[in-house]
Amino acid sequence: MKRFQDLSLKRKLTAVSFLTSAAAVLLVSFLFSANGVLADREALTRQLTSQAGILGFTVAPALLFEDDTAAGEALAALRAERQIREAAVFRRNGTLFARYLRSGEEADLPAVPAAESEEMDYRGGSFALTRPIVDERGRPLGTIYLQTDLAAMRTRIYRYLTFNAAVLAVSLLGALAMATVLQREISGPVLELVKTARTVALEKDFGVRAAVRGRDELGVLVESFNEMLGEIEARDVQLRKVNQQLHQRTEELGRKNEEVEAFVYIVSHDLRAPLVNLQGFARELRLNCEALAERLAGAPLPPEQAAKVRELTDHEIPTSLRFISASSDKFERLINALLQLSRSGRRELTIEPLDMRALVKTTLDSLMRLIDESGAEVVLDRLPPAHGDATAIGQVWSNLLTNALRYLQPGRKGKILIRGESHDGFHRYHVQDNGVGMSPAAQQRLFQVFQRMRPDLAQGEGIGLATVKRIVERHGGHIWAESAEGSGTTFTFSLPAG
Amino acid sequence: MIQEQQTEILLVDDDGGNSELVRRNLQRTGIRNPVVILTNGAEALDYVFREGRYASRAPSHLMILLDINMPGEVDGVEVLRRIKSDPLRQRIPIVMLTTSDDPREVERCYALGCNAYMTKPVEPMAFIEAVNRLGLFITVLTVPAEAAK
Repeated sequence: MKRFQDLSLKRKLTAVSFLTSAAAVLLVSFLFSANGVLADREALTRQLTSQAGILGFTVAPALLFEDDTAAGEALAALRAERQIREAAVFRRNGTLFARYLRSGEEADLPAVPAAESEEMDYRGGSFALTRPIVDERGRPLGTIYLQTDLAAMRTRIYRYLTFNAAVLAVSLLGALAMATVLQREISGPVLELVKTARTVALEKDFGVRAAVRGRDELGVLVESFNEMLGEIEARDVQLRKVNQQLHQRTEELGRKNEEVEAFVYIVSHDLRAPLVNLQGFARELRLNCEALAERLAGAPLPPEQAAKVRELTDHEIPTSLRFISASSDKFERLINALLQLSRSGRRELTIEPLDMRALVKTTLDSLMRLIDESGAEVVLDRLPPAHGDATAIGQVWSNLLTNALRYLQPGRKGKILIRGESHDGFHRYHVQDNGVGMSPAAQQRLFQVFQRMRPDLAQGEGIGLATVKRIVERHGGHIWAESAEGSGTTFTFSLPAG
Repeated sequence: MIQEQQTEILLVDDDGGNSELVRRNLQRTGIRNPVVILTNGAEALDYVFREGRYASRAPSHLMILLDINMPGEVDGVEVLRRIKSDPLRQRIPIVMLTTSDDPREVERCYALGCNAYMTKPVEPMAFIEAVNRLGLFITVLTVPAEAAK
């Protein structure tokens, strides 16, 4: 059997109104029946009492004069009353004086029928009444006893109850029919609302509306629901529009970014050709200059001229050429750095699960010489695993650790702590050193291209951290640094967890 | 002392400076083969196919150093494609010159059927090594520095 809560609204409403009506009808029917039965019994009692009174009055003289024949005739008149089974008159001392017995009945007299006052006794299927007989002055003369069967009353009550049951059945059927029909008034709008809500939920169609049927609370509910749908529909449309705009912007940004990448690549690529010539011809000039110096060494020149020529071929021209070479070499390194940076931004990443501790250990092995030279103590703590490109993330560790080792405070034993933790859907990794640190101004430019913080401490083109930042951001992570000048720097990068 | 049928080295590069440096470097290394410098793809095709102003050129063995990026309609790629699709000339060895060792450019060169590639600047020793690897017959006279003067 289903629990009441799980029944459909229609059934619930039908059941509630039907059960309410049924309870009322049953109660009324019961009360009417009870009242009928009681009234019938009361009528019977009254009838029997008055009959006993009349009989008592009739037999009183016979009792007074011991005329049992007259008493017998008076009792025999009871034959007309079919329901009287037995009647008897007792003397004052309790002995039987006269009696009447309906034909076919057996005597069923009470043991001591004498009674000072009226007594009634319902038993089995009969009703007995015992009443004193008195003379005009109220002196007791004897007792009259009447017993009647209840067959007639039973028949009446049975008919009455049958009728009641029929009325009850018809009423209940009527109540059920009405409940079934009338519950639609309430369940109809609710079901309509449910249908609309399901359509919205399943088809994500915020354009549907529930039909409003009346101005009652349900009507207000349906109307409010429709208003809410309208609001959601408007927001949905707006959201879609904004989403589309966002999508366009993202695509545009991606395109712009690609353009910039391509630009950097092409520029650095095209800058190489003239640079190579510059370097090549500088070398040619150096060789030519040497050849010239050799030829002039054997030439017959006045000493003053020879000194001047030697000054040119041995010092000034080679010095100029050295500057040209140094500058063009520097130029080449910068271009190579730019190309490398551009490539690190364009290389396809292969994202896979990474054992960060193993990756850091490999990186530390490759930096062994630098670690030994610096005399620093490197501590590798717990690191959460990550998802990323092994080569790229390896480069991040390599660059950060190389930086930490290079920028140690001279004269202080270097300590580098590598640790990590998980925080807010990201895994965080820290490289903490006790090195020279940075000024707040330097921290601002930290991740820009060609920024070299301490050219006195380390060589390079200043693209290490720019590369690191690109790699981390391409993985969907972030990188930042906290530093205090003179006491050390902590680099932290985060990668999305999972 | 010098063979009659010498292989001509054809340098095709819009950057004349680069070709000049290559020429000087080859010379300094002792390669005495004739060097022809051309600065665009169309002229290079005329030279190889003996057309246009080179119609009357005497046929010769060729080896080509070809810049992949050249302005104009006929760039290095086109020159390479035309020579490699000509039955008579497809065996001419071609070394492509690129400005970077970008793997995509290298791949592109080999896809087009080049015999070798070199990054600029061309180092003379790398050039000789490439020639040897290709099994080419080039007269290389290693002239002692003193004798060169």
